[in-house]
Amino acid sequence: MISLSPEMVGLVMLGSIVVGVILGFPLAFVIGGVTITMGILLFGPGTASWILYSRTWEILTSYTLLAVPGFIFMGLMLGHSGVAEKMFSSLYVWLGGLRGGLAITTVVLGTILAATVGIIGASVSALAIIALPAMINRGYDKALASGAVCAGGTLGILIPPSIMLVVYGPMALISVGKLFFAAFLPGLLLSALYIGYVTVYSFMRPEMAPAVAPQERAAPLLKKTTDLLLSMLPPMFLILAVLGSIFAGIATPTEAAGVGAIAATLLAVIYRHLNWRVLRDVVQQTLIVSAMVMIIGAMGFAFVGIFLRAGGGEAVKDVILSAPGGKWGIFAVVMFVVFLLGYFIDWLGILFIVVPIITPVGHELGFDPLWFAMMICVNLQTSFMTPPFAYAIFYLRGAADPALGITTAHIIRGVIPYVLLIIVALGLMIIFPQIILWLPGQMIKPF
Amino acid sequence: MRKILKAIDSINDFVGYTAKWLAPLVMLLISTEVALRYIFHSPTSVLPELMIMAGAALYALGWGYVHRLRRHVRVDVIYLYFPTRLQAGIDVAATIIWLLPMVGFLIYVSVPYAIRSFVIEERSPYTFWFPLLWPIRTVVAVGMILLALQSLAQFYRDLYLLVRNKAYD
Repeated sequence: MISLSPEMVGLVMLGSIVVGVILGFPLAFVIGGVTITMGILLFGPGTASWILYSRTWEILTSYTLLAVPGFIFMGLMLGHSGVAEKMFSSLYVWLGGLRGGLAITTVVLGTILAATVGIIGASVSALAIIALPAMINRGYDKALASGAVCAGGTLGILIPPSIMLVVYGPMALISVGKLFFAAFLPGLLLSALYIGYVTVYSFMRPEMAPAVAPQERAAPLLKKTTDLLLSMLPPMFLILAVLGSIFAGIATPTEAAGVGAIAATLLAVIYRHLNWRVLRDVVQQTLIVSAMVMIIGAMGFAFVGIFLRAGGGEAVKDVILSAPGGKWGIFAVVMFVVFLLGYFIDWLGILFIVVPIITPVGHELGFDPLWFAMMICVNLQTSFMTPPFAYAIFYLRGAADPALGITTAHIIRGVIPYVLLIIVALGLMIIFPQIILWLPGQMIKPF
Repeated sequence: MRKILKAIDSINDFVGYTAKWLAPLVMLLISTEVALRYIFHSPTSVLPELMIMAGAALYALGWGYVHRLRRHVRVDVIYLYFPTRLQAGIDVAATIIWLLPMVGFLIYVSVPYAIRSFVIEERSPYTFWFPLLWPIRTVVAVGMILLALQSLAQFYRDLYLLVRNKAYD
């Protein structure tokens, strides 16, 4: 066993993770490996391996985290039930006639999908498959179109039910239900800012986002309305039931996720999209994604155990708290650090490692924990969209038809305005904290 | 050697194919509990314990299978541009310094703990059902062993690629 200063421990542990992750070794193994090797050096093999196992056990048997497979199952099942295509085609006849209308449709659909999937990959891929070709084929600017897909799809990680919030809750000791409702208005605010941007931009540059010709979207008003209602109502009903039961204090997020998963399966049966292959696919993806999330969770939780025990948490806190500019100066540093880490580390890594370390800093500064958490979550939205490590961009590149001719340069150019809008939203939430805090305050019995 | 690696692959494939059905099982357990509580006003202490055990088994048994598919999240922006031999080199080095100690120590604790749990008849303290914990402790230990086996199999393949500069399979 060796003794190192807490600053040194913090530097070595976080530094090795960044190096390992950038080299491309699986995140969970890097975190777990750094945890056990540093743990052995600092506390000996007995203590280190016990921390590793007991913390893994705690994540594996967490009741709250059981909502993760539930929401993944529900999101995948809804994705397979074909509701996204139906919603797109019925929204499109309403909004297609506006300049930039398809981009607006994309963001609206992204917002609605966000409420059904909760994993960013699923909603970005869905939009890239459904909405992107529609825009490009009608002469939309490629940067504008791909920006709308990335931004709209990334809302999926913020608007409840979201896996990010399910994980954030236990890591920061905040109720997941409260986080869900704290994220609701910020999510809608972002969506409104995106729609506003698209509207203004395509008003000024009509050639970038031409309106769809009337004959292409001609349909009797009655049919238009019933199509819209029929396509939107069942999934909306499901989502409202899931979120409503949490809001009203009837169900925990875990229960809502489990019931939502079964209900989504029934919905797929009603839409006649459920067959053996779909079921097998959904079940297998649920296994893969939840196993992948949980191993990062388990290793991250163990990492934090060793890190805090070695005094790394205090060291990080001291460094951050010594930043100039008082309370808000320190807050700016925290936000900047999260933003920077978002470049390098997967969001799961940030949630499981960084959140437990910085949450005490927020307490120390006297910020409302819920507000602080939500600022971090909205901030993380940028990390999905800012290159080099931008998940939204990878998923878009992965899912988009190569024939559309979208290059990474297009996507990056398209994404920049949305990143700026997220910063605007952060500013608004600093000025009006009620955007975050009002809705959770209305909950009947928060879990 | 080839036979051993194939055997490890097939074991994890089989476990993955089977364990994935724990996912809908968890959903059904949750929904049944909710229904019992709200419709029949008779909540149980059995179902909450069972859903947590099924969830833990789902994740732990999935780890080896996900590694078999090489689907554990990696930030591959730079990695993808490396020549395959360098990729194998990174994987070999990182497996030696990080992954093998990680799975090794997880087994080092979880296997004796599962045995001890059986011997002392450890029970869950959370509900009045007080179920025995050794079955799920054993499943978790098996999950760790499966991950370790798969890690060794991938390690051998990467090492082969690094040394011989051609893919093993």
